[in-house]
Amino acid sequence: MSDCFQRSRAILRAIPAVLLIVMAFSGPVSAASIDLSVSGNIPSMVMTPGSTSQNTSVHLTVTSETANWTVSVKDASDDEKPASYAGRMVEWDGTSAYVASPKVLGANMTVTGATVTGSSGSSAILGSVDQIIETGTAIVTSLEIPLTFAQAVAYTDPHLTTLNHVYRIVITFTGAAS
Amino acid sequence: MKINLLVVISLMVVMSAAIVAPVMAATTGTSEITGNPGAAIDIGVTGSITGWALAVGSNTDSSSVSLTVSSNKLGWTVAVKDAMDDSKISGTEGKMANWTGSAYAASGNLAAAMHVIGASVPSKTTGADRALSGSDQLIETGLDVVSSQSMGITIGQAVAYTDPRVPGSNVYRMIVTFTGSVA
Repeated sequence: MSDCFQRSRAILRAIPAVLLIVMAFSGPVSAASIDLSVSGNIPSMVMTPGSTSQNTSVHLTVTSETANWTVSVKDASDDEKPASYAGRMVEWDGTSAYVASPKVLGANMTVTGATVTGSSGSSAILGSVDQIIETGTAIVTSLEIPLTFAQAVAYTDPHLTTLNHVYRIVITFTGAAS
Repeated sequence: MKINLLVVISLMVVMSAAIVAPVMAATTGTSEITGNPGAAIDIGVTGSITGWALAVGSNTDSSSVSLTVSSNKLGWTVAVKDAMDDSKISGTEGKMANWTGSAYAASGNLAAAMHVIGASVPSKTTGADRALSGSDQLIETGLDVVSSQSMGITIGQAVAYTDPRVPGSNVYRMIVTFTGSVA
């Protein structure tokens, strides 16, 4: 009983010290938050050989409680896409997997975020690392930001002849606020 | 005492968690994009042969006309035919015919059909030699996707002693139509 009492006293004495240490190593007490959503997919992007095809059917919706926020894009090589093809559209079997020895479009996709009230947009040639396409200039609530996906297609990018096969890419958008 | 201790420790944990909450917050979303370029071919034909010095016998010209092909689909083809442009006289399909300078004359044509020979380019295309007619005939078959791929075109024309000279400033004339296709 005496041991237990002494142990408890020791712990109680340590509490202020622990709290001081925690406070010393922590920053501001409030967390900035951002909420980001992407309006959808592009299931059958029109691509014309010998030109750069553009699609503007997808947009972002951003809510941020601080004016200091960004949105970045990257190709995260989802679904076991070979990392060496990051940023480029790769032959997909149409249902569940990238094919072995796939055909790959020669040019990386470019993603452009529009400049709208509350945010400044820019273009990024898609790759494996995050690149900023939107930089917030104000606190925003459900701010819709148009996106443009551009894909250059050459005659040397083969038309896929296997049934249901398509070129595919999954783009990851990441919002950050501070 | 034990209960008090637990309460204190729990409070400490909760407070600590609140204090060390992250400054940065992030959220992600994805968009999937799929597509397949349509099968396409683009061809360009450059050059003509004017004032061809035809001699009795075999005549060939392999430097005046060239063909350029771009296609994103294996098995593309290029065909040639005599489309009988400019109201060319029926029955002269594939053959050079008597041209007055502004129209075909009512009669007169070389007896032998013109030959169009497409060059082969290793691993890119297989060429063929065709006697021209009024129907499309393949002179090139693609072995690979190509972009601005050049290939030589040779024009051949046999002339016999029985092919008469045309009068005055008339000449023998032919317009060859090239057509690119992807299946």
